[in-house]
Amino acid sequence: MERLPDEWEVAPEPGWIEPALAEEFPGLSIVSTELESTTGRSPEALRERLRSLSDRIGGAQAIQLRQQPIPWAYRVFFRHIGLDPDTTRTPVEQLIFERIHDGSFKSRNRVEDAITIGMVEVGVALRAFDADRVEGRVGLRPSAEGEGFEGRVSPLPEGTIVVADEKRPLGIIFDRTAEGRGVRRGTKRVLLVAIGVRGVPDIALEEALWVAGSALRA
Amino acid sequence: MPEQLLEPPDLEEAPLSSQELLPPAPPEGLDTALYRHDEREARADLRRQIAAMELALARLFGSAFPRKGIDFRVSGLGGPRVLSVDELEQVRDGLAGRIQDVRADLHEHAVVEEANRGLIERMTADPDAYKWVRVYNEDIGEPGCKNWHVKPRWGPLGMLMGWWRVKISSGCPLAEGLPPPDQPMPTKRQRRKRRRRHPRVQPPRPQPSAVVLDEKRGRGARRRARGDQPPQAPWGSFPLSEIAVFVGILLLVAGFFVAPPQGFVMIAVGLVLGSLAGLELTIREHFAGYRSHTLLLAAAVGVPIFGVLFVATKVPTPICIAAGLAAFAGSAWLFTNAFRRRSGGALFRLRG
Repeated sequence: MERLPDEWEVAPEPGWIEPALAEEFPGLSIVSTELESTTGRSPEALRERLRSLSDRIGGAQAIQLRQQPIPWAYRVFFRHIGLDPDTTRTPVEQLIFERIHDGSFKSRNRVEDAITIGMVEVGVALRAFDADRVEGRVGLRPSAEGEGFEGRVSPLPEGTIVVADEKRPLGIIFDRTAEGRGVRRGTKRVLLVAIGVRGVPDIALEEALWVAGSALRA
Repeated sequence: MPEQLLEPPDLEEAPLSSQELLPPAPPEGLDTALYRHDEREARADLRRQIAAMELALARLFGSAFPRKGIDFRVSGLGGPRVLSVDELEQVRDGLAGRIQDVRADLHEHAVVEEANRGLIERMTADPDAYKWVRVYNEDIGEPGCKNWHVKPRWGPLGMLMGWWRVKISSGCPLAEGLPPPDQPMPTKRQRRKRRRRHPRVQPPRPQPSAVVLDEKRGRGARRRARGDQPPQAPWGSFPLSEIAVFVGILLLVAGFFVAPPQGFVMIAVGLVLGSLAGLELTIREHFAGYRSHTLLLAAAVGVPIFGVLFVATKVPTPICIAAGLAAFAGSAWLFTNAFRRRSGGALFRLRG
């Protein structure tokens, strides 16, 4: 593990959950942390970590994954919100599937690689947004009637659970990010977001953010 | 597993909604028994059942490996959103049905696998009764490439003498992947040299399953067996070739002890019989794409042509040799093409 600068420490900020949603799904949570980082090609140290992670994950882990507490909790939540986790894979299962399919975790860019490391190490679902394009704290809520987001032609079906800031949706939970809200070329500050569900301890969310944050600062 | 997912939630402690969203919050001061018995409890209960079923399905998934063809999917309902009671019931019923289906599939697999395990025991106890039968790890529900194959000891001699035994394979071929990342990138010349020295290992072919009980697996086995099983003789399992070889050997041996000219005739007949039997086997294997005998078959064309020209005509010897060689080369080319077509592209194939 890379040694972090002494002055830097991930300080997860809890996000908000729309009350009706919190009532329906106790344990649903979202936490975020902001980091100054740019995107672009991953440094060698980060790619080395990805390679090392690839060597630790094999078919046996992939088969047993859904029986582990955190990945199982996400699968259950997927069922609760009407998704089939074997068709729309949970974030960590998608990464493990790609690892088995491609033979290794492919390096994409600094931010995505850091998120991959954080998710595979801990099992928690992570997202990244351009912090300069997020207004206020992030949270989870059902979409309103006729609401949409940038890059989507048709409005969202009413009640779709979205990750949102205090003004607008930033993307669908565990799915697409609104155009221009994600990390892209020229992003100066990255907002790392961890989404927790019932059965995932808070400490796991913090750990995932810490692991991804440290990888991002490597 | 986090027990909280499987336990009833304490609904009284959940924060009540202050907005007009599902479920509808009652007016202030009307938090009555009616409200406490709304659909929230039903939804929470269904979610708990779904969590338990998902866990059961996950465990079945883990125990089903490496068996293939089992469907674990339960169709979604177009989320992500808060599902109603009806929709949650639909998910729960789907999961319950899927669990039943998977258990039934696993039971069917278990029956077949148990039969195959029994077959391995019987093969081991009496190999003569299961000639050429092969059972793979896949057939007994285990991972890996190991197989039990009833083969004759010492090849054709063991086949003639009935020395059959069960041979257990040594497992999967070694993988050949990318070079370690810390090695310098090889030059083009080095890559070419490496390719010549270490030709790329083809991924393992689908393994034939000689013994399967259900029709579906049987079809697959027959299809695969065409390439990996020795071809059957047109006269079935009757050991005509083996008998011919045996008689040929007897005549050859006896020919040395019988006075001429009967001895010469016996030796000649023995040689012809043995050659014909061998030629029949090579033709059958070659044209079934099982094992290539290109040179032998080409020689079987070229040598007689040379012999006939040399003995029966007055053609000069160099021309006889050239004609024999031409016949040999031409027929070798034709036999190679024939084998390539029958074997699915292989130029030659050697088997132990």
